[in-house]
Amino acid sequence: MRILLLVKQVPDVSVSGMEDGKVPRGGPSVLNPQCEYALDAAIGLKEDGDEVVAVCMGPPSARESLFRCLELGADRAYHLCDPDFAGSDVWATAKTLARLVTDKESDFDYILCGQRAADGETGQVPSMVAELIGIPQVVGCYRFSREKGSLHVWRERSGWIERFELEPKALVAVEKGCNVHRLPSISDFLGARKKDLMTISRTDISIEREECGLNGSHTVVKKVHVLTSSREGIKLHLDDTSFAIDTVLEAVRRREP
Amino acid sequence: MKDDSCSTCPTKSSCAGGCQRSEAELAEMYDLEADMSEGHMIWVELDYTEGNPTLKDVSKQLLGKARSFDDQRVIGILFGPESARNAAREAFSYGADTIYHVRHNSFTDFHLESFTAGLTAVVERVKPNTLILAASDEGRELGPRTAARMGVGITADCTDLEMDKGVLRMTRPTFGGKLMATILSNTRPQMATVRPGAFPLPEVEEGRRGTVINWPMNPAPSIEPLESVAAEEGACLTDAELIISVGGGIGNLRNLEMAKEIADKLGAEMACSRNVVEKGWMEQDRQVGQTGNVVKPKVYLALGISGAVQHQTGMSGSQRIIAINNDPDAAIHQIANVSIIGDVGEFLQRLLKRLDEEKAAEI
Ligand SMILES: Cc1cc2nc3c(=O)[nH]c(=O)nc-3n(C[C@H](O)[C@H](O)[C@H](O)COP(=O)(O)OP(=O)(O)OC[C@H]3O[C@@H](n4cnc5c(N)ncnc54)[C@H](O)[C@@H]3O)c2cc1C
Repeated sequence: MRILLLVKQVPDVSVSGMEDGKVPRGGPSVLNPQCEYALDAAIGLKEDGDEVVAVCMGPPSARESLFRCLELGADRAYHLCDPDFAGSDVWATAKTLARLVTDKESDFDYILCGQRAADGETGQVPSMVAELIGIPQVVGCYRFSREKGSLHVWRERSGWIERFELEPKALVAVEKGCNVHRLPSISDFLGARKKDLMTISRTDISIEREECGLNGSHTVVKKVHVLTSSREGIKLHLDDTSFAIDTVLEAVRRREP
Repeated sequence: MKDDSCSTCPTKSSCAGGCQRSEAELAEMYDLEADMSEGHMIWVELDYTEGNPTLKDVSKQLLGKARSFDDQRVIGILFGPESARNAAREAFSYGADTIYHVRHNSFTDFHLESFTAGLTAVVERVKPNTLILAASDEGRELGPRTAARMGVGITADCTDLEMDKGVLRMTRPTFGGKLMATILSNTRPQMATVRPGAFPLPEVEEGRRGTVINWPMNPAPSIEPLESVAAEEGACLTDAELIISVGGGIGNLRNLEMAKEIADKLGAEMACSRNVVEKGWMEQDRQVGQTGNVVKPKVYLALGISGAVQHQTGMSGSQRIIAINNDPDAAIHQIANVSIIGDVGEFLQRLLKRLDEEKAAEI
């Protein structure tokens, strides 16, 4: 079984914070939490003779996220890294990832990825990649198992837990994990930096300059502003007044803005 | 039986066993030019809970919003069996001028493959200026899949939309709700998914009429679940109207018990921050935040929660936030509508006392 793992690196907002509405560049970054779950799922499914191939598009620093995948047990990795890819929106990102898959790894069985990135996008890329490759998808998954060559995945939707049996060539977007604190094996951990990590620039895959990055994007961010407080806040002190309790009870009972 | 709400073909009658005409025949039969490159298309999501197809609230909100943009046509597209016709009438009263009814008996359930194919086919025919879907679980799949099939951009999870001379300005939170980005699309239709509840329900215009266009379709092959079992209790956080959420500042189990008692009395669901899950005081399925549930209750009462970005990601969509925290500089106070600066334990005691007094006064 060959599993492709699409991951993203995101700024670690818990550490770097934000000033003047600008996300600090070059601040500390981490593997996106839901991609961490996807990695965990992929490694959990892997048996002898299987291959897990991690793919990440991002600046040079995103190599660190790929090393993390390799340390935890991924076998190989691709780093899509090229100034031409910079500024991609969801469409351009999905297109670039899909091109890499169809050009270089078209004999995959399953694609696993995190459902959503912590830094902005909202789960559009997995569905778009699946569509561009032309395979079915199940999103929102949290549990995975192998049964005789096919993959079983579970997700919860509208109060129902659904279980799917997926024949090879399907995409699974992972929303939650069960066993995130997996420890790497010593050999994976020590060997990670010797594993095959291939840097892919635009000309290595069949994508034109106009099709990717800012040029290939279909959406443009017109403006960004910091949300200091969208709510007209009332500040009260508990002290010795029952006014605070009154206000809370009224708000709770009225349940209206 | 004559049914004047169907304008599929010149006979304007409803046909026994459903309309049998092919897509191409239909296209020739009526004047599609009227729809060309104009108008706002809304995916109208239906609810079958009582057997009868009705519009989901979010669909009403989106129709109303599209109506308010400008004087372009508002075109709804809905998927469903014959009986979904009634929902089309409802859609007119909320602002739709035309409803495309993509019809098959199996369409009471969401079929990603079929709906993507149907939506793409109708959009390619009608060429609307905008295409708006709810950011429901289903819309979050149907939107990007359709966008990718058509090769157009999409902006997900918008909280506001404005129309400026045909250009859709889509605003959405990013970075856990700390930033708001306004985004434009350079492809048509301009596609967005919008969070349920972002817009008010429009007023109903009784008797407002429109045109239903039938679009018979064969379902595309799709993957179905092997099995579905009802999820256990605890999964209802996302629908809760009132949430009492506790964080590290709850301090001890006695306070936690008080919070639970109050939740019981007020009919609230309990939730928590990750800190509380890590302490083992509450289950992970009650955690709110980036790695937990995303909730949008009418009121979110945060007790001793600092308001870390990862926590805010899960609750910033709440209509009203009330925070109790003894640190006046806690981040949660920045986003709260009502901030109480004080001790959680004391707050709980007083609130409980008040509720008991009220109860006593009733008797
Ligand atoms: C990748 C990642 C994912 C994460 N996902 C989540 C997530 O999904 N959900 C989540 O919640 N967190 C998440 N976190 C953790 C998050 O960063 C915070 O650490 C966490 O939310 C803190 O919880 P807290 O506010 O309850 O606790 P604390 O940070 O301990 O804050 C306690 C608050 O209570 C106040 N307080 C203390 N005593 C009292 C008192 N007596 N009366 C009143 N107030 C008092 C304090 O002033 C303080 O503000 C994540 C972190 C990472 C790195």
